[in-house]
Amino acid sequence: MSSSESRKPAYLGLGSVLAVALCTLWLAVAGHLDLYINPRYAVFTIVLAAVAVPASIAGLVVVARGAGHTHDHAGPDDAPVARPGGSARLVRATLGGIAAAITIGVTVAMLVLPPATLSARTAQQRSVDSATLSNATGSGTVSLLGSESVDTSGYGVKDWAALIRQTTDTSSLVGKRVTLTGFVVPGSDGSFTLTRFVISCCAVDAQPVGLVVTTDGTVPAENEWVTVTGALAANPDQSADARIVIKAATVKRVDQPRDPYEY
Amino acid sequence: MSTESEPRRPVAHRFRRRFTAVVLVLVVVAALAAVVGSQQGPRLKSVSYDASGIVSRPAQRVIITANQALQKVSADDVRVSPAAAHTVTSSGNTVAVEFAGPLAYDRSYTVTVAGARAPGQRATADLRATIRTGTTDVLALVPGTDGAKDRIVRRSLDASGATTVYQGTGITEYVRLSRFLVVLSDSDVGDSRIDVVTLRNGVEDPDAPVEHLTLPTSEGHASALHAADDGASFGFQYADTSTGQSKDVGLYVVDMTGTHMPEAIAADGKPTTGAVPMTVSQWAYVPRTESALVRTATDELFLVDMSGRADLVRLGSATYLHGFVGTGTTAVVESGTGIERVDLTDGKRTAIVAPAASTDAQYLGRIAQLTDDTYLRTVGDVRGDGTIASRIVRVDGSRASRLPVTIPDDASLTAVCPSPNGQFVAVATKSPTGALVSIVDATSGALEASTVGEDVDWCGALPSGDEVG
Amino acid sequence: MTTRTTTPPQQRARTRTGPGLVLLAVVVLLGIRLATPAVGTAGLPDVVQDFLTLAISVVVESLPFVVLGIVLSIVVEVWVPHGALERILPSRPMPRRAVISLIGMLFPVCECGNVPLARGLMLRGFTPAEAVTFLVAAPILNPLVIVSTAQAFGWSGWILPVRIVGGFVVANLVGWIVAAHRRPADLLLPAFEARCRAAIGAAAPTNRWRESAAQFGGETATMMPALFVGAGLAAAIQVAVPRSTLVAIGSNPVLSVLAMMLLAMTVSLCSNVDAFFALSFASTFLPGSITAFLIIGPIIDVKMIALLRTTFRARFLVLLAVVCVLFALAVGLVMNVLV
Repeated sequence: MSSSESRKPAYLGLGSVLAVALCTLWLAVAGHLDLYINPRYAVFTIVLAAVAVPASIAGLVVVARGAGHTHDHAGPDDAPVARPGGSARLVRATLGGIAAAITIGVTVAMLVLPPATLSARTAQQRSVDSATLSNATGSGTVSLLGSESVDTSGYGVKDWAALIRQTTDTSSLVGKRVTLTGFVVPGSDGSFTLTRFVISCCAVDAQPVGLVVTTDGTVPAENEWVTVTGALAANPDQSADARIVIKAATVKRVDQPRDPYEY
Repeated sequence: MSTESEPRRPVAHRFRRRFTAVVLVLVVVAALAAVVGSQQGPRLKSVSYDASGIVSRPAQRVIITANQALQKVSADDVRVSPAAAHTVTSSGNTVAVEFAGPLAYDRSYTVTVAGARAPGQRATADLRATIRTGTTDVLALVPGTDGAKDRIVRRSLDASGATTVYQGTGITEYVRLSRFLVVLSDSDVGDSRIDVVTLRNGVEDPDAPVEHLTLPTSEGHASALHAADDGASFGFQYADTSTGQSKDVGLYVVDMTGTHMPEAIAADGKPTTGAVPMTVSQWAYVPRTESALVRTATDELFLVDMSGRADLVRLGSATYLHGFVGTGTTAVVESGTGIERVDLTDGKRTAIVAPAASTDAQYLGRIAQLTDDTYLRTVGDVRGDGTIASRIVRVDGSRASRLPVTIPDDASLTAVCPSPNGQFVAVATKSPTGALVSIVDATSGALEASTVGEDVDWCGALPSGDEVG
Repeated sequence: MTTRTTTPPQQRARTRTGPGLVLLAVVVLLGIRLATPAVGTAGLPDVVQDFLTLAISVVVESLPFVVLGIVLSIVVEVWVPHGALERILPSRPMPRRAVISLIGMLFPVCECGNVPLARGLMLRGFTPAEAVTFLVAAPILNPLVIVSTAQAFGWSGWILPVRIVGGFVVANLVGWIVAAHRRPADLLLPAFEARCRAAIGAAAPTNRWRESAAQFGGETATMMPALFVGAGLAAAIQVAVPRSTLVAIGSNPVLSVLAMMLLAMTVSLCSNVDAFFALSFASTFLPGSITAFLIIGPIIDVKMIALLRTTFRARFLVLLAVVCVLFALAVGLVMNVLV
């Protein structure tokens, strides 16, 4: 193999490492790193991306000087491996080409396109009712005419959804006032599911969680981010799986929050 | 050369033997696991429920979790034995069985999900969960005889004997407040004292000091003690007798989460120090809330938020408060138009059904509503000597029958208080020889337990006050 | 080693354009990145956008582990003095192999760097059985792999411990079988075997920093395309395959294990980061199948076979494949029954 050909894989590797590392650092600076990974891994990721930049540049410099080598083929002291026949070479070249195309394609997309969150399509596809929600405890008071609800102001969509699914006393939730933000996954007439994605490690394991919202007004469009204010009530549709729904007093359109995921 | 190959053969075989052995073992294990796995079906991973909540509150759920996601389970697939009304929801790997009303005490219920299967798989399995409901106990006040102290005792339903929780003199009323016992005692001349006793293991904690509450005025008489279910506050009716005459008689509240200073509930429904309190004919906390249902001296009905956060809600007028439906938020209220159930979350009123047999008596007493359709009513006929021969009538829908509870001729019925799950009823009777509390089955009248004493804590939910002691 | 210090001037100029172009491309893309707005949609259909978001998240999550793995492997190969290993090993064969299988914990080397390291061990006089034990164990019994598996699946639960114990057991099992071979040298390629007999000690590199940078280039050349292909595949499966199909396969105790093992052997992901690929299946596939993926993936896949082919004979590779595949299969199936 000619020396320049054997360097192409090294260019691809080093170039993609450099590009991804720089993009990771940009994401961290722009505050969008949490769109892709759980914030508790952010420091580790940033530090190593910072290490990768000089390392890949050094690698490029060394390759330029012609001293690079890969593990992909036998070392200089081994007996020469019989060169594979024409068709096998073609297959290897094609596979290598596809791999290169995907590498370059995803790297370019990462740098050119704006960072995005997962859409409602994924939420619907992963079916909002997931089996892997955490347990949350609730309090035991009921709201009567004219009384206020007890403080659960720290709860997000994930906590309320878990509470509604796992609580052994659903009637204790009726009447509680909630104000929650999420995106819209349309449901059946007059109702939609206020959804958010819950991430444990990175976006690829995102699970959608949500609460059914019933509203008298118009149902907002799919993927739209809204803030819902209302009180929890028993589901008028007794046959549905969600025993408790939000009876919305107001549904307000908002911008997508800085960090759209819950953890 | 044979001599050369001899020592080699065992060694050569050793390699082949090891390899074959390992492969064989792995193949057998894998095949076995494959066969077992494909027949297995989902397995039960955990069951969660609240043993004491399930006997005292409605709409409690038992959550059954399987080890993998399940195909949707319908109500037909779930059996509960012994039978209890329930609805079923399932999503992901959990099945939630919601019981309509509280279950019976101290029983094992088996919830079976038949034919559970993972989506797209053929193998089915039955998920069987056994739950054990909690039991309960009652507290009763045993007046001391011959100079002995009054005792508050605990009587458990599944064991005999009564344990003394607290002793004191002149105890008139008491109420349970999570980890505390609030005790109201009167002196010989009628001055009241309120003590907050810390409990440990269900009896008075000897190491903790008894907190003596400072009353609003130097002398006064307190009555109608009630506490909120969550332990956040308790209230009482108080009459200022420091001048020798009763004045400013009305409702006071003590916030257990703040300073333990009694505050008067003013006419606007907010706790205000030093204000003239709202008058009370009858009042009680609405179960499971921090609000109180109050019938004032002028027969007006109010819903008061005892924490002071929300405003007063006027609910019309009432001539008598019978009580609440089970442990729910519906009150049974008597007014000029008859006896009605009032839903306190939205104000809707429904008249109760009163079959002829339940009103065919000279004296119509209090209603103890067990569920929306069943209640017990104390009725009686006046005897020749002027005393009332009481009996308890049970109304089921439109049928009325007499609850076969024996009440001795010389005894009078002082209270009929249902347990939170409506399974039992505490019947308090008083005779010249003493006071007796009988715990009977609310459907059959069979005697479960009895203890000497009066003022059972199950009666704490019944509105009491000036007119009703 | 061939020397290149006497390259003719034209050749040296040509070699600068390659890296120069790469740097230029990266700088241009970075410029675009800084210039374009950070928020807003690109107007792509949801399917494509979600595919990109998922693929990028796997890459961003995995890159630190890949870089760390390469850096550590360079440290071991270039900077650790020779002979450091021999001092800590027991002398009897079975305990010796057991300790060798744990070497990866002290000297973590990426899966792709394992084969040269195993070759290096044999050149230093280790038996093929010991080298094979190392080869199978090191990709799994490796602190980075353990941390990334824990990051994906949590420290509690069965997947992590079964992966670790399974890796240890299968490595020692293979080593035990190979040790019984009367002439282990038969398993090696003739040319390599001859080199072992000559027992040349490896010479220390002349310039360690240059060697390190060169190795960095070499390692990324193989690992990055594999990472992107793996990320793209995980994302594509997530957006394109209907969930009901995934759930139907994933809930089947037998089919799920077979499917995940097939996937593991075709997707040649570095063991440092294969946990993140498997994570995308965590909600639809049974835990036994995920663990089988995590055990067989680092040992046998298309790329590894190609690498191993430079050192071992085909007969040996068949032996290795059969034992490891059966072991992972058994572990996965049993785990689906028990857990």
